[in-house]
Amino acid sequence: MRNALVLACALLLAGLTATPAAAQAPADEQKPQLAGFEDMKAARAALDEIIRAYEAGDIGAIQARLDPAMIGFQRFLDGMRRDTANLKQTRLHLFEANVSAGPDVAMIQAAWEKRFFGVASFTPGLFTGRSTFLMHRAKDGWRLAAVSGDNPFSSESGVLATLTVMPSLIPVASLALCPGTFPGLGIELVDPDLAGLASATIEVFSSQGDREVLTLTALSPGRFRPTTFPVPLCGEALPPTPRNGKIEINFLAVPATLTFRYIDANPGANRPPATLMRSVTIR
Amino acid sequence: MNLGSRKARVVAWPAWCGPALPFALLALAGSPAGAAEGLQDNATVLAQFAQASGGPAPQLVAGEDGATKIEWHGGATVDFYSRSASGGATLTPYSGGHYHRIGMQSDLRGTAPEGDVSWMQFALTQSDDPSAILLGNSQINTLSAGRAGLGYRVAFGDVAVNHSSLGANMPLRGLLAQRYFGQTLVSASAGVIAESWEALADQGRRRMFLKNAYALKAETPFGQNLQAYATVQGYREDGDSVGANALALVPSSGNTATAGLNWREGRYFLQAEGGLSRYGEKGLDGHRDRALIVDGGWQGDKLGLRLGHHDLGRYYASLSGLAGAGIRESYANASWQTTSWMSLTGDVRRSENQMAAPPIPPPTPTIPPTPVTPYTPFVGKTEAANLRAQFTFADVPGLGLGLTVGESHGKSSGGGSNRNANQGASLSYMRPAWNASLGYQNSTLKNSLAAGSDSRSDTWMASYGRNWSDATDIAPASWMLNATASGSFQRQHLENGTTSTLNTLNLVVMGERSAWGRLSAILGGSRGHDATGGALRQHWYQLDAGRALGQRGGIRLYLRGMSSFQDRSAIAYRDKTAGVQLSYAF
Repeated sequence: MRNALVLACALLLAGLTATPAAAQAPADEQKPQLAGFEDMKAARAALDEIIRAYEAGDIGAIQARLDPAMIGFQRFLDGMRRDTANLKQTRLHLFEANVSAGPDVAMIQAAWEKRFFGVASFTPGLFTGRSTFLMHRAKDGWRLAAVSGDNPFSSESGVLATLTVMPSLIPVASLALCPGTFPGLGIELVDPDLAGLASATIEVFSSQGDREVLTLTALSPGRFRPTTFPVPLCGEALPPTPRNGKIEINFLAVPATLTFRYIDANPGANRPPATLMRSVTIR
Repeated sequence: MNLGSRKARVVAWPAWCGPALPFALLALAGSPAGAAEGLQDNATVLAQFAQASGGPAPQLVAGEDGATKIEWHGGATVDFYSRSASGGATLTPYSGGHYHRIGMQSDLRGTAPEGDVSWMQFALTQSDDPSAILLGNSQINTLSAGRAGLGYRVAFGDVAVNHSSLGANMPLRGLLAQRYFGQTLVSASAGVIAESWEALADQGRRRMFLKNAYALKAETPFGQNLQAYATVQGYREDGDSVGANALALVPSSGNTATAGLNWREGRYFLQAEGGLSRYGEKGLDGHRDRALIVDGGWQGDKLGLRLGHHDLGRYYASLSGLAGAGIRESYANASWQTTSWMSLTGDVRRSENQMAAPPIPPPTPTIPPTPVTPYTPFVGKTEAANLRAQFTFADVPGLGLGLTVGESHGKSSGGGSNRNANQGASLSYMRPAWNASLGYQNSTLKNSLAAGSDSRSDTWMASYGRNWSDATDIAPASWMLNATASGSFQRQHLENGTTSTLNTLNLVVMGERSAWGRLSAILGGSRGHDATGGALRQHWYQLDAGRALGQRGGIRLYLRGMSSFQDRSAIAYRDKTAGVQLSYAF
C-alpha cells in the first residue's frame, strides 16, 4: 500500500512537471472551476431540507429529489418509509460537519444523532453514527447522490452496529455452580438496521469448546438485551456441553475466554457483512 | 474584500503550500478585531498576513492589463447563548449552560495572468457547546489549498475525489492531482480517510479506523461522443489507529480496478462501468467480487426515457460512496410532458438486496472446533412501481394538482415478505398576495418479520399564506410581511388494533423593513396520543430578529424553546435558548 501511494504521487508529480506542450486540455476544461463557501452552504442547505422532510415523514419530497439512477434507490426509499411508520417524532441532529467540495460536487462529513420513539410502545431510542453525504449539483440545485458511512435516513441501508459486553474480566470464584446464573454480565446490541424487529441473536463460544446462541429482545427499536436475565453463565468441574442453553465454564481449566459474536449484515461504509466480537476473560 | 479591484500583480508571494499558511489564516480569522481592521486597505491586510505567516508579504503592483487578481473573502460569526434543557441525552441533544460558538471562514484566491487560480480555503468552528462539538471544542470544517489552470489541478487538504461510481468517490485528507496529457486526463489521489482533522491528529477522538487510500484514473476521448476511462484504487485500515476495545471490528483492506465509458450522441446517452475487487479482513479469508452498472436513455423534447441495471456483489469493496454493495437492480424511468397541462413521471424497478437483515431464528451453529459459524447470506427481493402526475390549469392560473402513487412488494430468502404502498394528492393555488394548499397522503406498511409494527397512516395537510408589502410595479418593496399558517393531521392504525394520532398547528410570521431589519416568529403546538393511549402534548416557539451593522456586519437576537410531553415524566424533555449573534463578512 505504501509503495502504491509513493508510486501514485511520483507519477502525478512527474506528470505535472512535464513540458507545457503536453498540457493540451480540451476546450471545455480550460476554465478552472472552483467551489467556494457559497457552494458549500447551498449544498448543506439542500441536505438540511432533506433532513427536515425526513423528520416530517415527507418521503415523496425526498424521492422527487433523488436521481433514479442512484444505486440502491429502492432499498433507500423502502427503508425511509419503514422508518416513517415505525419511528415517531424523529429528530436528526447533525454536528461536527466537514465539507470537501469540488466542481459540481460537495461531500459533507458529519456525525449524527437520531432520536425517536418506537411506534408500538413509544419507547425513546437513540442511534448515532457518522456519515458522508455526497451532494451533486444538478440544473435545479444540489441533490443528494448517496450516503456512505452510517446511513441515518434509512433502516437496512447500513449502520454499523455496536456490541457491548461488560465486564471484560470475571473472577472464576464469582461464578455460581451450574445451573446458576451470573447477574453481573451486561450484554447490549444496538443495530439500527434491525429497527422494528422483535429480537436478534448473537453467538457465544468459549475457548473450552462451549457454543451457545443467545436471543436478545428489543427494548426499543434497534436496541437489544438478553431475553433471559440474568445470563445463564455458571461454573462446573466438567467440560461444557455445547448448545444446551447454558454458558458453562470448567473452573478446573481456567483461564478461559468467552467470545461474543454478532454478524452485522449491512454495516454501512461500503463494508461487506462484518463480524463484531467482544471477549470476556474468566480467570 | 476584493483586492483584485486594485488590478494588482503579484511580484513576490509566500510559499502557498508552506506549513505556516493554515496557521496564518487561522490567526487572522481568529481575531475579530483583526478582521475588522482588514477592511482598511490592501497594505494593512497583507502586512497582517505576513506577520501571521512569518514570511514576506505579497507585493501588489498595479497592472495595466489587470492581469493578476487576488481575492480574499471571509467572515466570522460569534454567538453567545444561554440554554436551559432537561430530559437527558436519550431525549435531547442539548444540555443547559452558558455557551459560545465562533465560526470563521476564509477563502483566499489568486488568479495569475494566464488564468491559473491558486486558492486556500479554511473554515473553523470553536465552541464549548457539546451539542455542536461532542469531543473537544474546535472543529476544522474545511481546509483546502491548491492550484488549477489550463489542463491541470492540484489540491491539498480536504479533497473531493470524484473518479467514478464504482471506483473512488469520497472525501480524502491528502493530495489530489490531475493533468491532461494531450486529450487524456490522468487523476491521482492519495491520503487518509478519517472522520475529521481532529480525529486524524488525536486518537482519542477516533471512532473508526484510519483508512490509508489511493486512487488513480485515466480518461481519454474516442471521437466526439465517447469517453473511456480506467481506475485503480485501494485502501487499508490501520488496526492500531484506535484504542484497544474501542471497536469490535476487524480492520480490513480492499483493492479495486474498474473500466467504464460515457457515450452521448444526439438524444441518446449511455454510461457503463465494470469493476473487480478484492476484500479482506485481518485474520480472515479474503473475498473477490465484481460489480457492473449500466445506465442509458433517450431524451426527447417532451419525453425522456431512462433504463439501467446495477449489479454489485456483496463483497465488492470500493472507495466510492455511490457504490452500495450487495445490490442488484434494474429500472425503467420515463418523464412525459403529455400535454401543456399534464406531465407524468413513471418508474418501475426490480431490486435485490443481498445485505438484508438476517433471518430469525439464526442459521444453525456448527459444532466446535470450527471457530465461527459461517455467514449465511440473507437476500430480499423487491418489485416496485411509482407514478407521479402533475396538472396545471390554463383557465385558473396558479392552480396546480399533484398525484402520486407507489407500491413495492418484497420477499426474503428467509420466507418473509413485506409491502409498502403509498398514495398522495396535493392541490395548491398561488396568487401574488396569498397562497393555499391542501394535501393528503396515505401509506400502508406490512412486514412479516416485524408484524408488530404493521400499520396504515393517513395524513392531511393544509396551509394558507398571505403577503403584504408596499411594492409597486415600478418600485421595489421597502417593507414586507408574510404570514403562513399550516396544519397536519395524522392517524396511524396499527395492525394490533391500536391507533396513534398527532395534530399539529404552526404559525410563521416574517417581516422585513429595509431601514430597520428583519423579524421572524414561529409559534406551534401539537396534540395527540400514542399507540399506548398516552397523551402527546408539545409546543414550541422561536423569535429571531436581526439587522445590519454597517455594510458588512450584522447582529441577531434569538429566543427559541420547545417543550415536549411534560405531563409524562418518563419521556418529558424541553429546551430553551436565548442568544445574540454578531457577524462580519468581507
